Amino acid sequence: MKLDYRQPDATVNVSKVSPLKRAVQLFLGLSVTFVTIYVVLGVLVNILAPKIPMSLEQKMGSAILNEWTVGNDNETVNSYKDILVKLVGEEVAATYTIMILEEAELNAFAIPGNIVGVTTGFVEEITDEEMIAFALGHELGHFENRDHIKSYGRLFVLYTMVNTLTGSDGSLATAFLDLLSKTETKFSQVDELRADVYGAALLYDTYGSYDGGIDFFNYLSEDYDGSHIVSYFESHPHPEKRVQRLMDMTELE
Amino acid sequence: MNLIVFIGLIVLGYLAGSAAEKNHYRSIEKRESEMADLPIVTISKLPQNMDATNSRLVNGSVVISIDYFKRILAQLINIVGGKVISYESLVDRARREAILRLKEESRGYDYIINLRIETSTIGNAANSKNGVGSVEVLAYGTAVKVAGNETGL
Repeated sequence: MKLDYRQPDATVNVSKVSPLKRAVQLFLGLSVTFVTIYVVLGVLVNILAPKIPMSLEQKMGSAILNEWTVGNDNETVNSYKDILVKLVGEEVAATYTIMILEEAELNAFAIPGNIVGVTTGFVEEITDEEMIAFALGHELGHFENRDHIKSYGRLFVLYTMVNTLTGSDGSLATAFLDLLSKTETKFSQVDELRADVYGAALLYDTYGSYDGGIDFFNYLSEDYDGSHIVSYFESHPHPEKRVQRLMDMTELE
Repeated sequence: MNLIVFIGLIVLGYLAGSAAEKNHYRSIEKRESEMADLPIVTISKLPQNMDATNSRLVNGSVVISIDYFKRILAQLINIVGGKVISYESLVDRARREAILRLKEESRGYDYIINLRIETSTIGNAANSKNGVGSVEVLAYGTAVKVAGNETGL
């Protein structure tokens, strides 16, 4: 047997496809696909989520509250309830529960089960009645539009999609999550502006002006670019945009 | 922020990984032609007309990691299926490098017979479903010195 030596042929076992070109094609293609699927599912969630029964909503609310430490500042809760009664009357106000959540960041939430969650940071920083009334009215706007349920539904879709398709612990999951979060931001910014209009309308009916809302956003604008409040706005429109909208409403009145 | 870090790592991985791969292939090709005179075959026994005067077990192993860019490309391909092109050059380089090291260990011998190649993943990603982190290739065989050193088997 005669040995015939030949240099290995590098083209046999390694495909001659540009990895960079392939990566760009795949990333763009998958991004467009994911965002399209997410937008379609997001719209479906927006249609279906508001139809879930109150009993299920209350269970969701309990699960969410488990993540928080609920304070026992009854005096504040009672004063907020009084403001709520002024805004929507005793009968409607009685259907809502106000809870103070132990958190230094200024924030307020619409929690499933008709629970208005207000952080201790909010309680400490916002003391003007009309500003509080606007914030509470804004949260009632979320309940009215069922935004809280829609938002949790969309987040559920978002995490399920990303984790299923890319694996929950991969860097790729983080990238796609970031991309889809931007789409989610667009959804939630529409919800926020609509809730602003609702809160402002309640404020005007009760106090005869939009000043509480304008003051509230002006207060938030001061800290917008460099403080703990920044994170509050990740899914919210810029306060200046929201102030402008209220000013426009004032002019219309 | 996450997206910026992610893109930064991909660019770094692509530039550094491409440079490292080019250099490695250049080195592999040069050494392959230098060591072309040491035959290496998979048959397990010498032909009857040849007498081995000396023999020993030899092995060459290498561990190579893929860069961040290729890792992400592999994850993207895992979603849609198809040839995992980012692992092809990794395995090709590792296999050729392991054989070269095997030959380096066999200097002074006439042939390497009974060549076997084993592959495994090692490192943090070895037990991860997300794929290959580093690949180890082990090449082993029997180096033999033949009486009279004939020109062929």
